Amino acid sequence: MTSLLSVRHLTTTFESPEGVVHAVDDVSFDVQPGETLGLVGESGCGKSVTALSLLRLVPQPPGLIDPASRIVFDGTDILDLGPNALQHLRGNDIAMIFQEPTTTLNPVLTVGAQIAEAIRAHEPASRAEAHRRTVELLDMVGIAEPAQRTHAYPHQLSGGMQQRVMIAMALSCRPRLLVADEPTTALDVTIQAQILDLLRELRHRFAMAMVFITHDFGIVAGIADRIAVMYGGRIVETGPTQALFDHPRHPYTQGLLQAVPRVDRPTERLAGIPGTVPSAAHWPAGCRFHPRCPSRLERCASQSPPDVDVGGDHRAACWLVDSDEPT
Amino acid sequence: MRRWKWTAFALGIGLLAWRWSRILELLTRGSPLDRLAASVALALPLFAAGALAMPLEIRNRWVVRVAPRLVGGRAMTLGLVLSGVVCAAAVLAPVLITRDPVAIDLAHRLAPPSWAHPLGTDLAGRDQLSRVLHGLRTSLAIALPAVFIAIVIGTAMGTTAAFLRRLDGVLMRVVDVGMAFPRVFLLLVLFAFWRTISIGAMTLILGLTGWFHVTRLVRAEALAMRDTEFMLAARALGLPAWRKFTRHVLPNLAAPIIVTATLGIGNVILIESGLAYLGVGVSAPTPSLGRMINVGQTYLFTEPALAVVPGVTILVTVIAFSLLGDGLHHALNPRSR
Repeated sequence: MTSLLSVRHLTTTFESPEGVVHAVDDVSFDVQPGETLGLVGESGCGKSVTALSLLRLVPQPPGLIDPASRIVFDGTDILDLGPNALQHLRGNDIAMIFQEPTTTLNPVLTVGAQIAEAIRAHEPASRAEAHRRTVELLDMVGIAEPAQRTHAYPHQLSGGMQQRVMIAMALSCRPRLLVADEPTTALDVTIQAQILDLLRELRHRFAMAMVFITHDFGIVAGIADRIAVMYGGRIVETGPTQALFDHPRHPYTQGLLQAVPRVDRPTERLAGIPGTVPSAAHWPAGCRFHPRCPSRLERCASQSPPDVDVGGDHRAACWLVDSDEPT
Repeated sequence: MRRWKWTAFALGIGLLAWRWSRILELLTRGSPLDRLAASVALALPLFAAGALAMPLEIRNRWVVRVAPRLVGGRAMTLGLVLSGVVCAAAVLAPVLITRDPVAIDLAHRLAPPSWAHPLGTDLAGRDQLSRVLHGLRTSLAIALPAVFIAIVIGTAMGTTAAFLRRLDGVLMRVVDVGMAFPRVFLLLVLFAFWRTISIGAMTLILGLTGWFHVTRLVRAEALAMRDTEFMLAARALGLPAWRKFTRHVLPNLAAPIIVTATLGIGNVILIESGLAYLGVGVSAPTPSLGRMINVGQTYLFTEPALAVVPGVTILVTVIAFSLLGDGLHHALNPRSR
């Protein structure tokens, strides 16, 4: 099966007063048609920059996607596209939804106008046609009285409704890949569940692949087919959701999973990972997790670990795994 | 809102009844500007009636949504009423006043107020009320298009500087130079080349020297908008550049631009009057408030009304637009809702 999206050696850097910052450093992953990949990691690990890089939305300058990177979508390299082809790709083939629906909607336009605009940006639809489809889309994302709501301004809607509108906009041209950058983080827990249900339903309905970015393992478990764990601008472990939850191989993944509160495992105190994510301007040498790693070896401080296949499409970048010790 | 529409309707009908023959006369025999004034007088009650009959479905339109907030504050209401009265007086001057502002009547020089001349007459026996209204007309005829020119150029330059970063440095240095020049002196120097100045030339020059601070403001607003998430989302949706500009950038710039324009009108009126007072301005016999003050100040102690009436007219006009601008600032600013 050929991948819908194939990212190879993606490196995105930023110029900063402290020097060149490698926000994303040599990241490779694949997304199959219809598959949902969960991209998990703490704040500052590079997951949002990865998402922006996929659509070449990283502001340039100061950002720069390394020319050696490859982002192949359906056979064409996005990094080779000219401005027109790129504009055609955005919204049409790959769409994106963001964390903060309150600020991603234009405050002075009605939501109907904004959705209709997304439709008309890619298709020669008449005003009436675009309006009819806008109502359909609003209905599809579960907004009651969709025809009336087209006249509403964003501030007249709740956060959950706003995110539904964003999803309607993103899906207006039936993209084959949806990049969702923490789409539920800004919402109440009950609303989070509703939005996740909606995304799950729409993904099946449109046979749409998804890159779902979150810091929350609890959320990703319910939506992702496969998970990639990011730390320090790199992917440290990737594998099918079930395998990754059952047998996490990388100490960072293990730490993250222990930090998730679980009903079936009541503990006095949640385990945390000591320390904080280092600054992207000063990644540690060797394995970037080694200063916080409970089971570090001597060579972790000097040599980057290889990406080891542990079987069943499950890979981890750790010296412990390489030395075949049981973890 | 309804009370306002009824008031406008009643005033319009009243005006028609009062000046019906004058309106017809202007329509058939007047200059183009006179015909415009007569048409406005005819259209006023029709427009108010239209507003009264307006269906409720279009309530959600922008204007109708903003309008109720405009009549909220007391200062805003005053500004709206005052500027409305000032504009109506200027536009409708030929309808309201039948006396010719330039007709000389030496037999009735410096006449006191009477029914024939409510504000008396000036040194040449010209009707003072008619001259003030037509002077106001001159001021607004210069200020409104001049501000429009300045806003159009300023918006174009400001957005260009914000979105085409290559041109930013050059454009902003031009603006810096423009702002470093004291505008009144610049205008005095420019106008020194002409013996007489037409209203059109005056407007053009005031407009072409007034866009610098608009550029500054628009650039700052547009730069802030460049980094908003909804612009990022618009890019992620693959919207064409011109759509991003017309649908996302311009509507969000509208509020600060409208406020600057309103405040700018008062400013341009002050500059125009100041220049006229100094003897640089539209050529006689076109009535000008600034020159009326200049002439009147010689007789300040014997005939104070000659200078005070045009002075107060300028004052009221400028205050009206300032109040309107402030009110619009509050009404259109999303943070003060």
